[in-house]
Amino acid sequence: MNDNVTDNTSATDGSKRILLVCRHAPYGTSLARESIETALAAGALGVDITLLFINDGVWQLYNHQQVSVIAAKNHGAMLSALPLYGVERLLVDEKSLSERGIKASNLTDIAEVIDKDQVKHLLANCKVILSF
Amino acid sequence: MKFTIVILGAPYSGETADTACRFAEAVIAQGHNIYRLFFYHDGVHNASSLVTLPQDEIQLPQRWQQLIDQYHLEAVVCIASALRRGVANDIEARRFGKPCGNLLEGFELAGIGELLDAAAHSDRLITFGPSS
Repeated sequence: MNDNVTDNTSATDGSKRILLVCRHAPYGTSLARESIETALAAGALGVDITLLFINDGVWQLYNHQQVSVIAAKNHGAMLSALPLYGVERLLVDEKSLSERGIKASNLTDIAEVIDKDQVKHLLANCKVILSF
Repeated sequence: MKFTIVILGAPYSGETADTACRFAEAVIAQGHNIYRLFFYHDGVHNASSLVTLPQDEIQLPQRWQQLIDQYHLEAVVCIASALRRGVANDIEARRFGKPCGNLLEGFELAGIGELLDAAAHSDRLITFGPSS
């Protein structure tokens, strides 16, 4: 194999940080749910993981989700379990919010808003990206 | 290079699982290694022995199976995703009082930890998304 194109460290120490990119709305498909299950498992196993909510994924962070009308489990409640599992870095793309007319004040306060340059930097510098 | 391939799409519903299988074949043809195949979300249907397509169409589960068998690949199906979608081995089927298991030989059921392990130990992790 050509080692020049292998830009990951061998990471046998398990220290490689994972970026979980959440691109889908909380309801309609189970993708959002299953992506957060991955994050919870990572937290439980002590894996260093950061979540980036982008595109329709930003809806996952919206406060006051009223799920009783669609007989679904509350996605927001699932997200609020993340800090309990040691997953504390939840980032949200500012551009995706403004495109959808969502104010940061309407989001759960466990998320931190970052601008598009920070998003670019994050995507460029994470060795492992799990995209949902 | 060591690749891990994540498959989120079901066979037939969309093209992504088929593309993932072709990609896996290409990875091997190029002399690289596959660390693990991980079937998640709707991708678990790729491991169902009950998938039945018209004879003149690509039998994707069997195509995966052939690849797994020929190159001794590790093919992990997320157990939580699988059980929710009616994919189970005989042990799990019995455990939940179902009439029979349907997991194709060559595939194994395991937890999300196997995905996180693969992320830590592969040089490249490539996700093939859901159909929608």
